[in-house]
Amino acid sequence: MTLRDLLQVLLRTALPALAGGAVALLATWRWRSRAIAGASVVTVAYLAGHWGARGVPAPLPLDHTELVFHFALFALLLPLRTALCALMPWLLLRGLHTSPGPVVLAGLGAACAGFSLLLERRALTMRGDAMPAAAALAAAAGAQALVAARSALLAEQALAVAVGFGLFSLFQVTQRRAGGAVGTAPHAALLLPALCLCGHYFAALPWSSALLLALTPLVAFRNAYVSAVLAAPPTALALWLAG
Amino acid sequence: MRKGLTLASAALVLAVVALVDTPSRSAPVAGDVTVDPVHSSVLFRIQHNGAAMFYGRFNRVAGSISVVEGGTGALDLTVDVDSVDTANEGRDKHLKSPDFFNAEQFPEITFQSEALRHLGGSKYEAKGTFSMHGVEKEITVAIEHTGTGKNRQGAPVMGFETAFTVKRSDYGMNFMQGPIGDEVRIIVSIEGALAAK
Repeated sequence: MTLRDLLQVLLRTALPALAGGAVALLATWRWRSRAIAGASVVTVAYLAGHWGARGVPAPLPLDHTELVFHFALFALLLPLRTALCALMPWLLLRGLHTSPGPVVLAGLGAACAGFSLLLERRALTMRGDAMPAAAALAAAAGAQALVAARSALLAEQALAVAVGFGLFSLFQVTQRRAGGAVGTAPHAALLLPALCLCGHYFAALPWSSALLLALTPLVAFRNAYVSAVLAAPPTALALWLAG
Repeated sequence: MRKGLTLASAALVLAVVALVDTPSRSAPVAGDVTVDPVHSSVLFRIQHNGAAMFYGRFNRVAGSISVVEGGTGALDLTVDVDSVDTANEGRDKHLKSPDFFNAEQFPEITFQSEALRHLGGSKYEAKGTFSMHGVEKEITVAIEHTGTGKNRQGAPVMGFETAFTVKRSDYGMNFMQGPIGDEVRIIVSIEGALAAK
């Protein structure tokens, strides 16, 4: 990667940071509901990052890896999140030339729906308050793992997710108040597994690495710093496995 | 002096015989040719950093060319994206990823033409559908009949070659525009056995 490439990546990262930061400021000033604040920061940051890296995709994009843009939008529709998580693997992987088969797709769908419910339940309790911090670390490690898996575009998408979660985590720390993790739980349940599935099936991300990165937000604890420390071993292992 | 004239006459006769003996170069060839993947090549070239032309290849190609009497015909070529080869394993993986070809979703590059026509001499033209990265576009390519010969089994074989340019951005492949050029020159050289009638 040349210096010019690095600068381009940084510029693209600045977009989600600015957009998500604006929403975070708005949340600080106006919104009492931290759940909505969390959901909005991650969504806006991701959409801006995706726009910077790949543009705005068509409503039905030819390239299925662009569906993550739509997932970020739909993650705001809280009542539909579990159904969407169940459908997400099928929506992404039906485009594969060699389909993983109905049994694998059904299994992945059930696992994603279960993971979503589990994550949400944890986010509702105080023990999961700092889930955005763990998710930010997982997404940042995911970006690095996707570079190793030879997909810079997917890596930039993961970086946008990391910026979104990171901004909200920063918001939680600077405001000295917990909560809001429940708003970001659908994003952690949709965007991280979606990018990991894309990395594994469309690029060269090993399944072990993909699984570790997707599951990392589960280790979230009340405190952001403790969550980051807890999330470090699985993400480091995932990176090592990704080569 | 006399010896010199004799040699010149012999050379002239040989040249006339050689010209008369190559009707395939002027008249349209006819027959169904199945692509021999072992003796066919698909190359591509793209500019890197605005400087050198970088060449890569696809190692698996299949298809057929069919020319009827009168010089019209059809052409069907399929290239396996997974066989991309740039002499660097990491780069090949990157080319197969969603950044470029997205080989898992779009495993083939195809060109199908039902409008192949003879232009004269060894020149042909094919108007057809070029499909890459899930996008189809109508293009016209110039084809040259490069020769006719026999393989080791004594069966007749024919060769064709074409070179044409596409813009990768037209096919939704926009990653790293700038450092990597937009225009891709594709060179296809096909050899195939003529089907027995």
